[in-house]
Amino acid sequence: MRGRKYILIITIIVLPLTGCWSATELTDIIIATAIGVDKSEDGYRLSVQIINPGEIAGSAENTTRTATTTYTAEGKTIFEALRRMTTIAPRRIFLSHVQVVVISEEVAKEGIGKVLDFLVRDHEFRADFILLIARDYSAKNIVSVITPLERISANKITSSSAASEKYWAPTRDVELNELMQGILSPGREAVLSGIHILGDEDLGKFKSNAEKTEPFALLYINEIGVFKGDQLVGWLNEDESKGFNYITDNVTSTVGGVDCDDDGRIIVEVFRSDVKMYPKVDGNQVTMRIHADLLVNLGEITCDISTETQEDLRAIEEKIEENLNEIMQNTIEAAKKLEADIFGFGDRVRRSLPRDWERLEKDWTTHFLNTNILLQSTVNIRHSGMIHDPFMDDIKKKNQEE
Amino acid sequence: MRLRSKKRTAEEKQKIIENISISDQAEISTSLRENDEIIRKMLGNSDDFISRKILLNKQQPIQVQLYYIDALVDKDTLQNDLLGCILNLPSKVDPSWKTEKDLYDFLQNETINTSDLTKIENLKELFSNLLSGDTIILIEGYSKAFATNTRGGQDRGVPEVTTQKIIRGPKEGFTERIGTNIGLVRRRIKDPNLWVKKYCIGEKTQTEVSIAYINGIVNDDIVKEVDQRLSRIEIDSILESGYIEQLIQDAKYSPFPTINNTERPDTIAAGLLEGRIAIFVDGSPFTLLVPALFTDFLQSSEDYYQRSDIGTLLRLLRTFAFFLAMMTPAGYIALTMFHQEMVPTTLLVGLAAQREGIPFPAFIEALIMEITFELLREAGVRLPSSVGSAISIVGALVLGQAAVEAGIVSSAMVIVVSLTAIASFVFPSYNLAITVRILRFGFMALAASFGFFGIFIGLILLVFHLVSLRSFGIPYTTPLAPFIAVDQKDVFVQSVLWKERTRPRLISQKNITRSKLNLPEAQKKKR
Repeated sequence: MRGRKYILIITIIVLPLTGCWSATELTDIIIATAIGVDKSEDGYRLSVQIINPGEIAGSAENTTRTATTTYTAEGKTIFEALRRMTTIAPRRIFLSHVQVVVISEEVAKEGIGKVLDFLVRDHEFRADFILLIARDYSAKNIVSVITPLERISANKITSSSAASEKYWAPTRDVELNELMQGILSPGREAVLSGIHILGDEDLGKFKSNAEKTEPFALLYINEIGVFKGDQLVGWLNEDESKGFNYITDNVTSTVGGVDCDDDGRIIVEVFRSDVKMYPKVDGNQVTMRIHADLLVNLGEITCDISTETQEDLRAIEEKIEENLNEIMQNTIEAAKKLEADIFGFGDRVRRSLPRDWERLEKDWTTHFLNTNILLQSTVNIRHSGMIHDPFMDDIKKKNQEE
Repeated sequence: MRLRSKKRTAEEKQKIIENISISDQAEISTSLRENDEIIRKMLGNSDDFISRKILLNKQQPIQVQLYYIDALVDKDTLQNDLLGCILNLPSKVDPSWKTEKDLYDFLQNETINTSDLTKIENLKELFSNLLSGDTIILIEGYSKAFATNTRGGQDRGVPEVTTQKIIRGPKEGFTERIGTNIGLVRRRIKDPNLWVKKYCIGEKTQTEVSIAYINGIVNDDIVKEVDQRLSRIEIDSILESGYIEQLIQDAKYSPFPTINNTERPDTIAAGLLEGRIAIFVDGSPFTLLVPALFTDFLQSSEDYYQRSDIGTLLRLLRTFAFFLAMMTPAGYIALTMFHQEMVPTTLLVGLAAQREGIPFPAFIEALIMEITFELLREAGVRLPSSVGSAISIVGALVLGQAAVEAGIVSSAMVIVVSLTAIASFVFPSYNLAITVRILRFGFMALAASFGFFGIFIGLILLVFHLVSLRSFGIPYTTPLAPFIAVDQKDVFVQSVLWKERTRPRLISQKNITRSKLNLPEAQKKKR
């Protein structure tokens, strides 16, 4: 009993000797939300967007200071540049809340492998940040833009990337793990969406950017960059980007349209998309049958066409199916031109036909280029909206009567 | 008249007075004067001690002496019942009695009409009865006395429960009178098997302590254990049931209570019906209930008065509150000092903004606020109710708002401390609330030293400690560890009343069946 008491006392005395081991007070760190990676003369130029918490959530009235600040430092590698930044930054930079990593097109073309090692290795990073490619502008300028509505531009970028993927579909929300899989797994190539500045990149850095109804500079995410290994090799345009999302079964909801016979368009809202790939290997000839099953609503009709009967709707459905096949066909052709199997056809073959894959793996790029594509689309219209027939015809009639 | 001369010398008397508190077996003298002298000396001629001489039977005069303590007796009973019948005696007296013994029997059997009459053989009994409020009657020339029950004096009546309030259920609570208290329970359980055993504990206070249990339901081993522990107590005074609790509890150095206490007769009745033992202590409205298990402290008698879904929800809420009250500040400290990556970005930014300019580390900040709150709470208990509102203003405005505005503490910390405080008031029993208050500081220190790692080490040690405890032989964490499947119906989830057909195992080991009624089936048969 006495011995136990001594052990207890000693434990209690020893406990505080650890001295709050590896404790960090919130007042000793600054929270980084976005990182931009540009090329410098002998390495990388790292730009880190950090938060000025008092500006965002402080109880006091907002001052004239900006909500975020961008620090920039150069170094041969990312980690070196980051640590060099401590000479500029007032406190230690805390990386766990990084939401966006923007890599300049220049770095991406050279290869992003060297950049990624630190992001994957460092324990402070969470794996749920998204990666984007700065197109035409430097990554530094992109992380420096002050956005209206969202006071932290990293928040704006993540939320609009997620929203555009979900409701519009020509972008791809790529997190670190997905990118690593694309780069490393056989039979698949990586993609990253691009980010641009719309407007004046220098004025976008001022707080006044958010004080206008029409800001000087806006960030927007569009189009998908195609990688071969860890190198950026080209871009898909908006339609092809959407086609890419269709083929990889990544469309949650989007809007697509076809031209009418006369001038006008039929726009449908896709609310369910189910796309499956069925590989078939015959000797060295790979055939990929892609079956898309879409449920759509009529969203907008600006031409004179009837939607009363099943036949009318079937005609519209057929048009959309045709259009969809065309989009997917174009996308695959674009990817073949870049010699990058971004759809993961090879991966699909590997999973379904592992024995054939063993044979095809070595020379997959050639086989990918020779792959036959069979497209089958089924589109079903569910609802025609609040009205049946478009009223274009009625307007015309009325005009004629007058 | 023959006076049996059994006179004592002055020396002998002195000896008795000196030794009475030790031996107490000294006999009552036949001489009234001698008795008077001894009694007066023993009581130090206290002014509230009253004696009255009455002369009976004018033909053959015989002296009778009455003793009582002014404040302890019920004047009505004394005057109307006792004095009335004794003073009216001379007309009725039967001259046939010859000896003092005859008179004694005559008084006992035919004259005195108070409800109970005890024969007193020695001085110890005499004092014990006298000081309990009985009136003592001594007869000249006879060495035995009566104690007539005239107990009374000031009483609070049956008050409303103040510490364990409920919304639905009986409002009456225990009082300081042990007789009233046992009566309140008896009124609820009209069963001859409700047995009561009386003890007299405390050398000076002579406090009446009674245990009550239902024979046939209770586990006899536990009764034996309680009996042994109570009999073993040697102390000068028992002023509150808390004394008994501390003297007989199992784990004396554990922060966890192993004896339940309540002010509610219905809780005691429910406990008895589960096979527990109640310990009533005179002078205290808090009655003890043993054995007490950990989960009992998270349950309220009200749970059973409402439908079971509501009861279940409230129990889960209380269990949640237990962890909340114990670990909210610790969790906050760990998150802000060690694990910033676990906080959602927006929240972290908010917290960081509040912490800007706060001079203290999170741990010190939490400590300041917790201690302030404990001070406020303690002050609130002591303060007369008329100034109670002043404290709440000082607490809420001055300490809460001003401290935040002055930049000494962050407003998130104020929220954390308030949340902790509210959660700690959720428990139906005050015991566990205090336990949680103590443990909270330990967890805060662990969190400040090691973050969540420390909190989990603390939790593991806490579980070790809990499972090592026993309450009167029953493992403290029953029915969770040891796991008893049938008893899960009444732990966190409260099943409907007609399904609770058995009493908790281990506590009551025989007569386990509670009801044979299966309500839906009974209804089916009717149709």
